[in-house]
Amino acid sequence: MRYAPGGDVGSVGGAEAPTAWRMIEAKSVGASAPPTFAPAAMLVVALLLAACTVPRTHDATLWTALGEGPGVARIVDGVIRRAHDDPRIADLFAETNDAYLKARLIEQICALSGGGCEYTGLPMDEAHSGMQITRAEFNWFVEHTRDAMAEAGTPIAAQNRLLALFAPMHADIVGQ
Amino acid sequence: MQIEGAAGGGLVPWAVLAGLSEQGESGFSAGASLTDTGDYRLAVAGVQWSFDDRVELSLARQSLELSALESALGLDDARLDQTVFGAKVRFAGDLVYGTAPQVVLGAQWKRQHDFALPDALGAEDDSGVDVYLGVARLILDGPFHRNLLVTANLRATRANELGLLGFGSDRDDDYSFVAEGAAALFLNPRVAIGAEYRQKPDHLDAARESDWWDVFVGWFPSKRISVVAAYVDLGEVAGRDGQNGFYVSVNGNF
Repeated sequence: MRYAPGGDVGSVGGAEAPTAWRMIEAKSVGASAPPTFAPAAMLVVALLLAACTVPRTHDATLWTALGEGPGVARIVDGVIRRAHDDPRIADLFAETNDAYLKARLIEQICALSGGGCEYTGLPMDEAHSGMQITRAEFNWFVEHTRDAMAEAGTPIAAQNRLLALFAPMHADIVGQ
Repeated sequence: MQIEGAAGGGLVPWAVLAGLSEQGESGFSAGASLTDTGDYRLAVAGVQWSFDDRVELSLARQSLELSALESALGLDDARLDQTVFGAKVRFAGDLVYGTAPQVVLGAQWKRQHDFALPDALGAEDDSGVDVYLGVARLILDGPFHRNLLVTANLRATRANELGLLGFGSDRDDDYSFVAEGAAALFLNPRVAIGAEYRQKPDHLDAARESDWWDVFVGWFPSKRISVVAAYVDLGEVAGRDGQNGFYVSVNGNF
């Protein structure tokens, strides 16, 4: 079966933080606790939080989890490289100005992830107008994005958060 | 691959399509599974062909060994075999994108090959058709910032214990409507954990049956291979209560 893009079985997992740490991260960004999360477990989480506050006091935003400017640049470089290297979708990027695309993508990710940027590119439907992008091509691009994030060491939680922010653009990208 | 040969977890068909086919492509996959409760052992081998991210066709052979009943039945090798041909069509929505979840219509044509025991237990037919309507959605960035797959079916069936004990009975020969569902949380792209529940009809007075459930771990060492291990609780099967045990399956996409 096809799990793309979420649980895509082919994607290589990135450097993973320990599970407990990821749970804490989930708490620290305000994820709602599932109803089964018992008060005792909340206490444990709070204690763990107190024990490891040093590196995580200021990084509630996804932008920080993605590694801010340098981290996102690494991800975007990886995506563009993979797109050019994939014969299934390379044609779509043959005429692309890579430097312009990279700048707009970083800007867009920054704006979506709480980094405080303003996206100055075209709306998604206009940007993909006339390209006739298929569902398959879209899915392959998402796979490359996940692989690029894994390669850049982006934690799974941040990968999922970013892809979820881009998912609503599907309708403006496919079939335009 | 689930135990009737369709794409799924273990006990329940999921409203997703087998293989890796995208629009305009076709994919082939194959799997095998073993469910062992001590008293019974169900071995399944199956193949799936999918096309265009739209249609899935599957063929499976089930073989249930009734080791616990051998002495009671005075047999050396008590076994019930069944062939299942399955079809599943995605006709609306999308697994991941847009507002509507993916909706599929599925059917399973089943033929039971050893009808003596089902006949003695009161089953009417050695073949039957199950039809189900299924929905599935992959919820991006779900609990713990993990992706969550949820799927559910409504099934019309006359099958006794999947059809291994035949179809219908002299008491109740009508179709029953049963619900089944599953949820799987992807801890990372290679590991998922989840649970399934499958409501069952109960047509044979001589062999009452129970709803089934399982909890599972899925492991995807590569895009082409998946391994699922589960704890299954099958309740009462053919007169024996407390049928719980393990399930394991290996699947490959080509």
